[in-house]
Amino acid sequence: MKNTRSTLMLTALLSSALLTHSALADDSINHSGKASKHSALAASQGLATTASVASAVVAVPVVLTGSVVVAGSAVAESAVNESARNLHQASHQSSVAHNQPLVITETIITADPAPNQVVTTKTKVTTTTTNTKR
Amino acid sequence: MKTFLTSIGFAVVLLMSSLQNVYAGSQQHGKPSFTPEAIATFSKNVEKYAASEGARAFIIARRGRPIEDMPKGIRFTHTAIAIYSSIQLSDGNTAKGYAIHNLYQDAEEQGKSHLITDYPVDFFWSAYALEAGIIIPSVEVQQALINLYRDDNAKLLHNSRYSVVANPFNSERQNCTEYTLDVLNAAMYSTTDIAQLKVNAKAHFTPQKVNMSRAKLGLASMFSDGVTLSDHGRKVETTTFGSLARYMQKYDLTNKAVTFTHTGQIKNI
Repeated sequence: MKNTRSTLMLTALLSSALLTHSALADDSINHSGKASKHSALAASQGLATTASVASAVVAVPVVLTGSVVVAGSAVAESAVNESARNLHQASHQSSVAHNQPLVITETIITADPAPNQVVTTKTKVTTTTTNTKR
Repeated sequence: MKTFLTSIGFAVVLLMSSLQNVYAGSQQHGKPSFTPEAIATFSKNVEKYAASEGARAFIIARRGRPIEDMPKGIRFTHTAIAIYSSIQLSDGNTAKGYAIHNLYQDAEEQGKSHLITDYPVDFFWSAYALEAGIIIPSVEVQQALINLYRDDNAKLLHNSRYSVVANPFNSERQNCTEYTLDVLNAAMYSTTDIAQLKVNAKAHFTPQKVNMSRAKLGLASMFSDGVTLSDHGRKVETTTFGSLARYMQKYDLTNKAVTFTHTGQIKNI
């Protein structure tokens, strides 16, 4: 009887700990690396006909300078790639008035999957192709 | 004795089964709770709302689990900073929208984190509810945040040692919301000196008390590297979206603080 009570207490304690962990488990886990997301969005029939899906290469903050905003340069320079610098140069030509509603693209932008997932996906495709030839 | 051993065995099986569920839950976060079009539409509506308010930088939060499963006083589970950006697309075009700058917990090594930029549809992809927390800072604070990201200095504030209940007053551990607080303070105080930022936080920021017994929290820490109390003293307090909102409201740093739902309902916080 005493053992049963101890076991019940132990079970309750462990369950409590697990529930606590479950409740605390932050969902700060990256969801952007899901290779299936882009295709799921692209295949969606319910999206507005004007909406398209695209992957982002790089994003540069639009910086307020006086009464207009222009794209920032430091991030572009540290973003390593040439495309960021091109984007920076292109963005200097556009401006948005201070405190006015901002323009938002209708394109649904996603981050690309993590490199290891891209490599895995490509490997699978290659394998499938090879098998088909056989 | 036999009954006792059987009961212990049963408890262990239950424990292992529950543990698997808990960890599987973390690993399967990529599975959406809503249809892709519902997530895409909601994400775009959040963007359009922020843009209609002229927000060039704002704090954004999502809810990853039911409110009733979370400690009292906590509503959102992940917080980040959205910056209005020129976004170069893979098709060569450029688009205007929000890039979201996150600290994400590593899915494999739960005691580690990474800085990752994603976009609204990524951010809400596996949210439990299509509900966003939004804090639009004052114009001056927005400008300071944009300058910090323009200069690529936000990364200097990252501490990769992760704990879901990280203590905001020291640099031992960091979670997504503490990182957001550090970025916000770094922008406002124009410094990336972590020690100074922690002193400032201690002086002015009131964290959220974690309403769970220390014993339970201690037990939870045994099952995950992502939970630890080693950075806490007697009280367990952490940074949350709600405590950030209160901090910014207290010092008049906010233009708007709202929750935004998929029905378009906007409620002031």
